Amino acid sequence: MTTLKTDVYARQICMPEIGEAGQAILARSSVLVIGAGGLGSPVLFNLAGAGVGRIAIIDRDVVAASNLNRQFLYTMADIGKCKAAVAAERLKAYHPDLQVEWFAEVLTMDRARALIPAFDLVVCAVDNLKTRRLVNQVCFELHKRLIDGGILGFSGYAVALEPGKTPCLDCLFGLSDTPRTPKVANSIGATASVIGSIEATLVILLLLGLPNPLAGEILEYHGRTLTFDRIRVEQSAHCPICQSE
Amino acid sequence: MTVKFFSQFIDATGCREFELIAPESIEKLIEILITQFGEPMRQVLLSPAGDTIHEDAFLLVNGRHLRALNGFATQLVESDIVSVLQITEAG
Repeated sequence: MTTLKTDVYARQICMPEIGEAGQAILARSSVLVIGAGGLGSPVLFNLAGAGVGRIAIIDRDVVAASNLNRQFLYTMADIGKCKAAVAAERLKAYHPDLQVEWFAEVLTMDRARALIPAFDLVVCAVDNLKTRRLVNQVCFELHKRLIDGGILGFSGYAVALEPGKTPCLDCLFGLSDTPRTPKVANSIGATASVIGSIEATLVILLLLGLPNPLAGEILEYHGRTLTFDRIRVEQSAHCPICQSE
Repeated sequence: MTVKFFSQFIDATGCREFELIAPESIEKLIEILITQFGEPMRQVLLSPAGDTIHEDAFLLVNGRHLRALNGFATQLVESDIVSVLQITEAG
C-alpha cells in the first residue's frame, strides 16, 4: 500500500477489527448498490470512504430538485443529470483508485441474475417493494448476502440477510405482487443518513468476516424518540423464496 | 400477552408496548386495539374497507408474518408477542 493510501485509511487501519489485513480485504471486495438516492448516498460515500475496491451503482433516475434535501451525492448543478453517472463521478473524485461502474437502467430479474454473481455483496437502497422483492429473490437464489434498508419520515429499518442463515425479506415483510397505492414518500436527510450509515456498517462488518449483528432481526429506528429496537423474525415455514432452495 | 408498536404506531398510540389478556384471535386483538386507541389506530392499521391489514402496515406474531400464519383467524395465547409495524419503503 502506498504512503498516500496508508494515510487515507490510517484512522481505520489502526482499528483492531481492521488492521492492514482487513484493509486489504476491503480493497479486494466488490459491492453492488441498487439505488443512488437518499439511502444510496450515505451507503456509497461510506463504502468508498472505507476503501471498498469495486462498487457498481444502478439507478435509472435523473437528479430532481426534490432529491436535494437528502441525497447528498448531488448538487443544484446536477439537476436533470443521470444519478448513477454523477454518483460514479463523485465517488471517483473522492477516491481515484476506486473501481466504479454505473448502470442507468431499471433492474429486471434477468439483469439481476446476470449482474449479482460478480459481487461479494448486494445493498438494496431502493424506494419500492417491487424491486426489493426482485433483489431478495435473486440474492437467495444465488446465495448472495443482501443488506436492505428503508425510511419514511423520521423512521426507518435495516436488515442484513444471509441465505441459508437468516430469513429472507419475504419472511420479514410478507412481500406480495399486489399493486400498492402510489404515494409521495416523505423523509428527511438525517433519517436517510442514519439508515444508510447503518447499511454501510453492516456491509463493512460482513466483508471483514465479523459476525452479523442483525442475524434474523429487523433493526427499527424511530427518530422522533431517537430509539432503536430489534425484532426477531422467524423463517416462514412455506416461504416461496428461502424455503424453496 | 404483549403488543409492541413501531414507527408510526408509536406516534398513533403514544406508547411502545401494550399489555392485555390474550384475546382468541388477531381479529379480536385488532378490535381491542381500535377500541383502546381510537380512529387514528383504525386509519393506520386497517384498509379503508376494514377487511384487511392496511397496505402500509404488517403484523408479526412471535416474529412470524401474519401472511405465513392464519391471517385474521390466527389464534393467540398469553405468551404471544405481536409486533405492529409500518412498511417504510422509501429510500
